[in-house]
Amino acid sequence: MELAGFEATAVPHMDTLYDAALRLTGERAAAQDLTQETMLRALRSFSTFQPGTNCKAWLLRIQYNLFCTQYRKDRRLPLVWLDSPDEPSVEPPSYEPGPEEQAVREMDRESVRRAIALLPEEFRIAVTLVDIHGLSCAEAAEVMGVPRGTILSRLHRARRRLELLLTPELGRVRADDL
Amino acid sequence: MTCEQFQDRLTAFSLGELEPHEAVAAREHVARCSDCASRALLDRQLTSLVRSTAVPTPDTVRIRIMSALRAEARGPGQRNRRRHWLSLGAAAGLAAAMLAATMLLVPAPVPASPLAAAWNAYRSQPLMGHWDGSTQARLTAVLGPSAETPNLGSFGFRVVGNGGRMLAGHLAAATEYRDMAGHRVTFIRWKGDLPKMASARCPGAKGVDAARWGSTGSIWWSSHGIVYCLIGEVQQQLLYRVTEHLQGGEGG
Repeated sequence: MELAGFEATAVPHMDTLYDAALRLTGERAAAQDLTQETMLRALRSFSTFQPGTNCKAWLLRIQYNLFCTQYRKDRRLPLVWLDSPDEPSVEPPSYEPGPEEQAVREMDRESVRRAIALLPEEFRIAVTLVDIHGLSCAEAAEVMGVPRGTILSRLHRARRRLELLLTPELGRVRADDL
Repeated sequence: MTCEQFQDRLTAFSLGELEPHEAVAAREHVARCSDCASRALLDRQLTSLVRSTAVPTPDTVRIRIMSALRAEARGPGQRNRRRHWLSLGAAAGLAAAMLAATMLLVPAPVPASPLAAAWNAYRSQPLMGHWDGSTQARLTAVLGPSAETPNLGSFGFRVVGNGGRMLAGHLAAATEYRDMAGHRVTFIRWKGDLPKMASARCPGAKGVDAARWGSTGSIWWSSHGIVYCLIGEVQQQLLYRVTEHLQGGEGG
């Protein structure tokens, strides 16, 4: 099996897979296993990957299928998973931030993680795929096997929920809008 | 478009996923409604915040997965082992010519020179994390496509951080990579002239300078008014190979 092409194309997305696996499984050990299993499956079926298409979306689809068939069963998901100091959170850019960035940074990342972890699973996965890892709604729809409009609506409701959780003082939306 | 209609479409608007005619109507609405404009801003802030919670793969996990992949790729009898190196060696011709030049040990650079600034940038606090849209936009405005982050995955380097830096009075984009063993390589680019230095010219590639300071090697070149510096404590052959790749990829 040829590793060189896979290393150049798929391996750079390992961080994405690991982060998404953490959000899917909610625990570190399961996330590590799921990431490794996804990479191995992807390597075995790398000949079916069409060059020029989005490799990240292809990998996330493999991972989501694996999660649904092997990891989701009989697991109660812990809701909070990122407290250990061995995984430093992503630091803000060192360039002098604008007012918008500063406002954003004042909010505690940890509370954001918790808020995301508290979202219903289908919202959380849509947020993970689109907002965190940059898939288009169409690509995320393919990963989750639902129409594109469903992804958009999940994202919309997830964002309004996060908004309410994270900025209660700005939460002008009424609870029944969610 | 009414406020209610806009707010129903806010997420699709932020994501650029509206149909073209709706996008036009939404932009028109947000231009004249300050309430919806601030909702749109809040939505952008929220997205930026959510994105910033991404975590990298711990090195121990990465190493474990890479060795599982190698074991899987070797398969029975390890018969394909050589092909990997042959394909890596596709660029061996030019690389061999470049190897003819050795990196010179140069005196410590004059403080405040770009050379010193690049070294200091490398030696200072490691870069972590990724720049956000606004930093990226500023760097792109100054550096054009050179502000993009090259993918060096084929050399075993993964991106661990990006940052904007002031280097000797220039706004520079710096990207930090690490290999599997944790060795650090930083790729810095800024607008300006290639600094003059006592260095080796590499015969294999046009306009490439190499300099070494202690255990740190660096390779310098410039193209279209942008200075590029690749600096790191890895084998110099590897720095040359990466340079060759970057020049090919960035029109250098």
